[in-house]
Amino acid sequence: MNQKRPIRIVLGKPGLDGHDHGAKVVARALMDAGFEVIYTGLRQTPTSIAKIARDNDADVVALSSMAGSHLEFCRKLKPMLEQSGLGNRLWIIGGNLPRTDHANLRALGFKGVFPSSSRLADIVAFVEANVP
Amino acid sequence: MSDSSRPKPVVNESGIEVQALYGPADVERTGGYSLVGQPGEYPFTRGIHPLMYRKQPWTMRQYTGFGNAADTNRRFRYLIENGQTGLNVAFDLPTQCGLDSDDSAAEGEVGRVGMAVDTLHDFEVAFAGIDLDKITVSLTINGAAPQLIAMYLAMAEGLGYDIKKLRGTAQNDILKEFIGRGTWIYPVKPSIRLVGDTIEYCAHHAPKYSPVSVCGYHIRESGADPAQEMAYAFCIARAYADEVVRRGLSIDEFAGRLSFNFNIFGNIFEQVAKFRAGRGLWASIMRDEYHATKPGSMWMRMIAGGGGGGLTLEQPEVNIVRGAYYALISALSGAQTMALCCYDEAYTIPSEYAQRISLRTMQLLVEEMGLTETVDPLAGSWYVETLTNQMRDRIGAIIAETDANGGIVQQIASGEIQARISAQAYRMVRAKESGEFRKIGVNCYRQEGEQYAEVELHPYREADAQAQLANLNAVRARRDAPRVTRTLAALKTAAVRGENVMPAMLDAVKAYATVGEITRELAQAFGRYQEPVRF
Repeated sequence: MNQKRPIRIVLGKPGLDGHDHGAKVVARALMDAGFEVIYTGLRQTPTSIAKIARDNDADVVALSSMAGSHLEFCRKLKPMLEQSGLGNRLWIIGGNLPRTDHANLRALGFKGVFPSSSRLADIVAFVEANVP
Repeated sequence: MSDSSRPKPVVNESGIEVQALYGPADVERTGGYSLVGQPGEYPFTRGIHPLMYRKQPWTMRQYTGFGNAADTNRRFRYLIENGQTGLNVAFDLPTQCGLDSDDSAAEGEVGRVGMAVDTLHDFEVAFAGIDLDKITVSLTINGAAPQLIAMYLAMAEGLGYDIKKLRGTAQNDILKEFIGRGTWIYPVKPSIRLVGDTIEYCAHHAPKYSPVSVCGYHIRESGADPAQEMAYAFCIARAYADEVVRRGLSIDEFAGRLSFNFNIFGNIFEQVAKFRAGRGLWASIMRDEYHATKPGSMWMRMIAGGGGGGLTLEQPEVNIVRGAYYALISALSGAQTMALCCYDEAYTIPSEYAQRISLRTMQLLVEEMGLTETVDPLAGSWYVETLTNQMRDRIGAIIAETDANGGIVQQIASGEIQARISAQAYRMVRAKESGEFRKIGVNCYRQEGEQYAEVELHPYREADAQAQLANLNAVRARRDAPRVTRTLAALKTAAVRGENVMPAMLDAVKAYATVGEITRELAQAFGRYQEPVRF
């Protein structure tokens, strides 16, 4: 059992937004790259995402947000992930993210910021290069 | 002909091989002209009315709503002043998910992607000063559709409109929400029942109101090809029709008020053929499968709009041109209503400027381009008639396959359709990334360094959300609390007993019960949907 398990990614859909086209496409790309992906489904709260990430000992916490509430959500999620012992894991976010918000998202600990039309290969490469 | 001179095979998105040249033999080979007919006559391939736009151009109905009802009312008036002939209301996510603005899950989302609605009061403000006989209103609402249809009818009645004559549309297509868009609330079966309740209620009490607009649009946005878009929409429409027929209504009592919402992007001829084929196929389904006798029951009435799926974040000004082609396709396809996603929509809620450009795009076709003068102008083209025949066969085959595999309801409940469509979406994204599927600005003719254009971002104003919370609290304070409690209890009783919930729903909204209070009552009777996650 000392074989290293694949990189495990919890991919969450925060808030009430139901646009999951992008999240599911990215999930498939990450799976094709050999990662283990746990997709949460829609309507997740900060609490539920932190719990799923902790219960699954996620290496990467990824969010897909299309409806504009990403900053509020990430502000709430950050302390919960830290309290769950996931402060040292890789946090990334993708979706409809205005350029003016990117620095704020990075400051909140989301090291990878992938706005709409980011390339799948870039997301995969970023995870490989930055996973702890 | 040597191999090197033979053209490379071209296959459209629906899987039909496209020839370099068409002639009369191709039309004959694919079924001839037997299903073309005349406009206004069965099978309505050429249009549902004899004179189409000669009599009346399409309704122009841009999707609009943000902040609170007062904010949205101002934008409605702006669009009407600029010549828009209908309204298409966008609601915020808490409203769409059946939550009140003060629900903890609504924090940060109130009024963000649409207008916030908590009670009938918000409808009274949103439509103030708008003549609902002249401007027909479409409500883009699904999970919370029973509440909002009730609010619309109650609001109109309160203003003195005759509900028997009131026109308007609710999207109210919950089955497609399970496939894409995701504003479901209750499990699949009770959700269908609620759609049935609204159709049945309107058939008896608001016979000019269109309680459902079945959406291929969002299925296409989720990754379906054009033939699947139409096939799955028809399967879903049949599921609603079955639900109502099961209750003892005849098909002709309600089918005339069913309508559709379809998507436009991609190959021009494939889209036109899709709509012409769809009209013929829907007419035959209604006549032969459901034994409809009224022509209106067989009409595939539709809003066909330029879809966001075709627009790009890159070089957004190019989306203005794409939108113009999409509008052209819609006009060539005999749409009753048209809407266009705006050029800035990959970034933001459209600005007034962007909305006006979309509106002017549609007006150009009417005023300058001659699109309203002649009915079904592409008819008789060997290519278009052949493709119409082939699309009809393709759509029909997908319907037959869906039926053979357990039917659309079961395949949505199991997550099978969702998994298939998201696999296709993934293949399409890969094809765009590899350049195999060409997309300007994305994989060809890129302008490096211009990935993010400077567009005016719609501001989210926290003050509007605060004003909405104040509205809600004020309504709660002044309403007749015992009446609210009584009407909500009656609503739950109707839900538990399997009665049509709409009469009790009307009583509850007239007592100013909130969207969230009503949802909680119904969820106690029906439970809540658990999303199947499948890849």
